[in-house]
Amino acid sequence: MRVTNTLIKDQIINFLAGNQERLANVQRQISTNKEVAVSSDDPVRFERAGRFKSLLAKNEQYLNNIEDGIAWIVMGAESLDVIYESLQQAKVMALQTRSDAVATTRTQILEFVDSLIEEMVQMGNTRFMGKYIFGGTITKDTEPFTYDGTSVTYDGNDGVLTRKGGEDTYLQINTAGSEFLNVFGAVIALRDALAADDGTAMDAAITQIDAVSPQLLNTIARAGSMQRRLELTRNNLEMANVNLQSYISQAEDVDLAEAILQFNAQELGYRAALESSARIMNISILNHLR
Amino acid sequence: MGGLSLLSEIGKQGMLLSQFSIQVTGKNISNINTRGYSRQRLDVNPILPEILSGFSMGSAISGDTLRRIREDFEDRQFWSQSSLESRYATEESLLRQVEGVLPSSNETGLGILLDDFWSAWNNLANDPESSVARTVVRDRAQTLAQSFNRVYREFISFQSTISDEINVRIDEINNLAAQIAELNRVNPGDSLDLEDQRDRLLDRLSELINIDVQRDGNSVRVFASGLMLVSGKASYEISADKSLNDEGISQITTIISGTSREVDVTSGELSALIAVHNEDIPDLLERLDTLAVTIADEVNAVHKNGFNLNGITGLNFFASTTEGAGSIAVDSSIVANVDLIASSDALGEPGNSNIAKALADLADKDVIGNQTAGEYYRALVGTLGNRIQEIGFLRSNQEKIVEHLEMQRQSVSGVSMEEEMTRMVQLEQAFTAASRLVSIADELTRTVLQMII
Repeated sequence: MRVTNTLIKDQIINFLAGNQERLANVQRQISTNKEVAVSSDDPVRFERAGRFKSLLAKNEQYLNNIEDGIAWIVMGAESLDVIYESLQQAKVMALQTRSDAVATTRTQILEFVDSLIEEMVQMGNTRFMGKYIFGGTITKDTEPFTYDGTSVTYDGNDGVLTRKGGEDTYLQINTAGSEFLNVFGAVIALRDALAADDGTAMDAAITQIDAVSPQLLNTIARAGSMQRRLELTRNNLEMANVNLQSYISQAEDVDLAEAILQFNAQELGYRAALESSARIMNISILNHLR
Repeated sequence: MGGLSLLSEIGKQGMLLSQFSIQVTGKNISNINTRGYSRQRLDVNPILPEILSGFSMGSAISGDTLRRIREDFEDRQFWSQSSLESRYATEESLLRQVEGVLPSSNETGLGILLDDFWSAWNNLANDPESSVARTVVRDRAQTLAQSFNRVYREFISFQSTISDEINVRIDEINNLAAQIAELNRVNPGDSLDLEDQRDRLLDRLSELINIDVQRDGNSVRVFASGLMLVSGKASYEISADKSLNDEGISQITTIISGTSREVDVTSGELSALIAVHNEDIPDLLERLDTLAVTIADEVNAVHKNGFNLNGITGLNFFASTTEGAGSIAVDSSIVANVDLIASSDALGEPGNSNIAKALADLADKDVIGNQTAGEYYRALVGTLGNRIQEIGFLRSNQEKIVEHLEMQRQSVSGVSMEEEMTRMVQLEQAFTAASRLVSIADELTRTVLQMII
């Protein structure tokens, strides 16, 4: 092939431009730490990274939901514990009265049981972030439990509150007040028996308390297992997120060691091209003609 | 005596010939860096036999021809391939701009805004009594809708920029065709430089549009897809014909001005501009419209069944005027009052969040074919990315081909300093030798004259 000066010049320009482009490319990858920044860099890997990122965002949201749900359950469990304690105290008081019935102590005990009822109702109306936790889906404006001095009524419903913990997973977080409404009935029966100083009624009330206690314990245990389920889901999600993050990194991040090696190789190539270009451009017949 | 004067005549002819050849060489050297210059050579006929046969002498030079060293076949190859190259290169650069308009990165794109939107419903599902969670839902929905609107507007404005660009290119094509016709008229056969100039114009024309060139004596005929652009000294203008398609999106066809004959532009910058204007952008707009309308419809269908904080049901979340990415908007009553956002599916249950949950669940529901909204968007970005990659691949291949052809052309027509300088030395020596011939003739004549005395 006949080689002309312009041909050599063009070739040098093309080669150098190619070298520069490759160098700039590797440099961009190194400085952004991303091999795939836009779809056209690598559509498949870009799509994969996008999918994983979307999954990660969803999981973060699920984690939010679950943290919120756990706080709700813990709050509910604590209130139920207090109600259970109160129930046990009422029973202890009742047994004490049965064995040692002095009129003055009975009045004191009556007052104490009365305050226990107040406290239990208050616990039943516990609010978390301004919302009644035992009212089912009636979380606002209406208190779940009302105590009018003779009986406790439940104004909530059996609505189930859930938190989304996965694509098709909704986890229950609430206990409806209706489940432990009978606890109040038992303690009120005791209070009434104390007020009437009716030994038989008192015995009946103690039996009633013994009957509702295991039910309440069951309810508490169910709340515990709800909490456990949420925590398990949380652990799974956290683990999944660690994996997702590494998948995302695999899909779009640059292998820094490899990129730097490549950069060095390209740099070397570029320098060599520059060097040889500089030399060839200086060679001319003109240098040899007088 | 005739013999001696013939000798000095031969010497004179030789000197003139060398001198002229040196001029040609000098011209080649001065044009060593001129794009599109073809090196020139003087074809020399032997002087001697003509003179010896006793015919009239004439000028040795007039019988010789100066010609361009150039291969017609290589030119044709070059024109058709460089036409393709500029199509791919232009298309790639336009599509990269499209990719820039479409918020396509995994950090800031519409995909993220969609995720945020679903996530806001999820937060509302956690906290259905709250108006803060409602405000977040409204704000994210507005951000999403406005991003759709912005992308739509930018596409439309990009499309109209391309349409302007098409007109600029068409003007250039018409201009080039007119110049070529003008060069045909002045008959470039008389001047090699004008012929080079015409080939340069054809080089540029081939970058703009697919052309076929036929040489006809000293004139060229230029066709684009079988329709004549230049014939002899006449050129035919093309122009852009704009119309709207069914979706109201602008479409452009190229016609021979004053006729209805459509020019099928298959390569060159013009074809890339037309393809992106007529196909790529409308296609993307259509998909964005589908996405926006689907999101609005699906959300509204669920939202209508819900009760809001004011106990009202049957309200739209997105405006009922949503017809596409350009018009999607949050319903104005909800923008004004976030309490109107429904989260419950039963009246009077503030903690009920079944509607908010159902809306959050839409994130994972196959709403467009068997794709979720997020998947559909990612597929859209992926398709564009694929296309850019494919075109980029074609472009870089084509670049190599054109580079190679250009080198071939250079190899034939380009000026080599080494060649020309060597030639120069050679010609200088020939000139000296010829001048020596004249002085020898002079000496011989003098000797003869001395004999007379």
